[in-house]
Amino acid sequence: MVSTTEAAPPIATPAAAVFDRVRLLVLPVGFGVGLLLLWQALTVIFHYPKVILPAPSDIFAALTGNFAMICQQTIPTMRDALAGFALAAVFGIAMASLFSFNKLLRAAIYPLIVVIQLVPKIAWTPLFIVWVGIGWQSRLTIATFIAFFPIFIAMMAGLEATDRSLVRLCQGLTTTRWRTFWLVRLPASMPYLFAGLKIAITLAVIGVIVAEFISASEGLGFLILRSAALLQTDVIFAAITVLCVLGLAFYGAVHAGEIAVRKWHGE
Amino acid sequence: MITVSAETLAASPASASIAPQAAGYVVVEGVRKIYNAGSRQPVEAVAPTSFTVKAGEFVSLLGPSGCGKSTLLMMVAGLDAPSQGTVSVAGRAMTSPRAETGIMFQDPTLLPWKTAIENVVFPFRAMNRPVALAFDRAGALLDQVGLHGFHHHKPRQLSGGMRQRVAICRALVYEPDLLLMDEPFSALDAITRDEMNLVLMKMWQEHRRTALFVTHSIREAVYLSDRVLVMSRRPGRIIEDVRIPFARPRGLEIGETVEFNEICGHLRSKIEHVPH
Amino acid sequence: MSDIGALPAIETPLRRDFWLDLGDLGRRGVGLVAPPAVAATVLLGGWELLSRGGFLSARLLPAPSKIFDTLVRSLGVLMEQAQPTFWGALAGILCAAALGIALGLAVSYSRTLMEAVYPTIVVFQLIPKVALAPVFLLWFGTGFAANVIFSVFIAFFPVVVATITGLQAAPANYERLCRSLMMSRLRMFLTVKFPFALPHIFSGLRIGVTFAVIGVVLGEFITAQTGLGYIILFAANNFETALLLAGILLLCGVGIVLFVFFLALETIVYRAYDSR
Repeated sequence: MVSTTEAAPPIATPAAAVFDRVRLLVLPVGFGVGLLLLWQALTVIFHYPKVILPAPSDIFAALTGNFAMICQQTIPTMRDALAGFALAAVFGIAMASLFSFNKLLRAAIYPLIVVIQLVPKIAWTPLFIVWVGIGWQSRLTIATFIAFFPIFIAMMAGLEATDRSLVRLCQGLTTTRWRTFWLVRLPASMPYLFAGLKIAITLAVIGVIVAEFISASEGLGFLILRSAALLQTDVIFAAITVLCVLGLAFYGAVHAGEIAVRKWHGE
Repeated sequence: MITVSAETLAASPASASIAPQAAGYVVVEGVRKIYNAGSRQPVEAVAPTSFTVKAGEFVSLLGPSGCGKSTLLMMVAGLDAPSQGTVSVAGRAMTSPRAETGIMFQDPTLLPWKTAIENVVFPFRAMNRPVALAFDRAGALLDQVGLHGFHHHKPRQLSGGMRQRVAICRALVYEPDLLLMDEPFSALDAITRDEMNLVLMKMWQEHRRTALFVTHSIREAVYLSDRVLVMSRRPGRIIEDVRIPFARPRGLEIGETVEFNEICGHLRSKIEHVPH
Repeated sequence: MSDIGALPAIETPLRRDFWLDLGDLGRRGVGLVAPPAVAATVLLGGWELLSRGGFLSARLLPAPSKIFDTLVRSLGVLMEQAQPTFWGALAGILCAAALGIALGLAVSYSRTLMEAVYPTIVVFQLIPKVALAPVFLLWFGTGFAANVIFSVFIAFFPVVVATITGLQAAPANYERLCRSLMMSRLRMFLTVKFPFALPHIFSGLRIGVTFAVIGVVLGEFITAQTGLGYIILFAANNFETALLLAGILLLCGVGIVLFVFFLALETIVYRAYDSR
């Protein structure tokens, strides 16, 4: 008979469990930090020209050195992106809600929207510049346009996805279509809507950046483009870092909004 | 009757010298399984428990949901390791899977992009054994379970019961000496389930392997087995070992006899239901 | 001879009239296409009438007829400029696919690699990659290759994430089955897990195609030398709105061709490995 200890693996000890959990945290963080250190080391050792690839320390220096200027350029970008997102949300939710009441309208317009999606929306940027001119107008328009579609489509999907039996229950109770919408279909579409909102806010920022690339008047995108022309790569990366933080903050805000709505709805 | 080809005998290790029926001798000794040991909430899935399965026996593990019977089966398969105790099959400790064990799950687990016969032949590919001979054997098995004419159907063209029949063939095609089955018919409706019990009985009769069958259906356990082991609620432990006296071959009609129902009643009284 | 104990034959669907089926399909197809077709016609017609009536500024929004006219007249130039855009996007997505799938496979295979690298990939996803376009300009200049490289960079991430997600898509029992059949882990990854990952991978590729086109067009916007992006920008600068819209139409065409290409690829692959 084979002995017990030989056959069975050692029972996991408390130490082993802690090690496991630490490993889950340490490995990714370690990898990330390792990459940063490697980056720093390579640029220093090989004397990589700052123009090609600035070291993390250079980027940090550029960030702190130009902080005021970067902040100044962040404001128009942030403002236009948020405004565009808000407008897109209002239009998207309203239109999707309206469309949900009429099946024929849905069947007619929805495929057209899908076809429009085939063109990358940034390609429309020059058209908007022609229509509303360079400046905050075109940035706002483009941000709204880009952010609109994910919200609209997500909201439509959410309203469609309402459990058929729930809807039939309401019909059986002779609820008006408006109340069915308000009490059942709207709450049911929330998860879909928030998924769309998260995508939309990211796209709104991207839309503004692209508009700034093309129209080059102000904002973080303009700053990046100008810094590229001036070969100030460290400033570029500093601006991108700020963009990342901005994007994360916006995404987090939408997520917080989702949690708030869930709590309010009593889940 | 399917004959064992010389190359399969050559391919399988020491147990080849013993007739297939004598191998597949399962010994579970003091086996215990704890999940998340060392964390704040360790879960004991299987309490220290022991049992044996003699060669050629059909034994059922019967118990309520979550009692650890599937966990026990996975340990006999060598797919999971006990936290304490030993599991051995044919004298060898099960620290890793064994080529002479056949396994069936609740889900047929067929590869959707392969036809029925290709699925049955799959174990030969997996074990890097020559496949050419396997096709004949696979075809014969599929005919035996009543799937003549469906050899080249894809799983999505087959009903749930038919897919499980393909799974039975796949489990038998490489002549295992031990058959492990984890609630293979639980997902089927009652009528199909009876049919599948018949099919399993027929195939098991022909190929007389040792079998360990996990189920939560009392009638199924009594109908199919030589012995029924009842497991307690989690943490699971064998609390009853009932010998089933009916002679083989058994028809479905024994389910109507008094003796059958008495045994079922006895088993039912032993099963501790999860409190509501 | 009918045997009551025999296993039932699979039912064949009721034989329906061929023409009824065709008519039914036709009716459903019409029902799907008619409303949007009507809506599009109404919108286009209304647009045309408003333009003719002088309600719409010809400079800002020319009539559909003018756009079509411009399209036909400038077709040569537009098609010529569509080449770098199309081939750039195609090269971008194909390279991104190769790199992305390879990395996805590698990361999924090794648990250590997965735990270390995956969070970094997720972090990279958060970076608005289009903002890096000027950096790529700095690094790689303004040629076609630079556009492609940028395009690969953007399209790469959705493919990796999709591959990783897809490789976890196979239900757990498949891995158990393969292990019980002593299949090597690498073999299991390539012959079982990968086919199950295909639906996810294709969905990631679809997203990747969109991103690749965006990358190429954005590159053309910034470098303003060749391609449909350049034409659109050029038209905007000269207030040639009709040319602008013709360019966008052609860009739509590029998107459609790429979409059809990947649809064909999907169909071919699914012929052999359909896991849906």
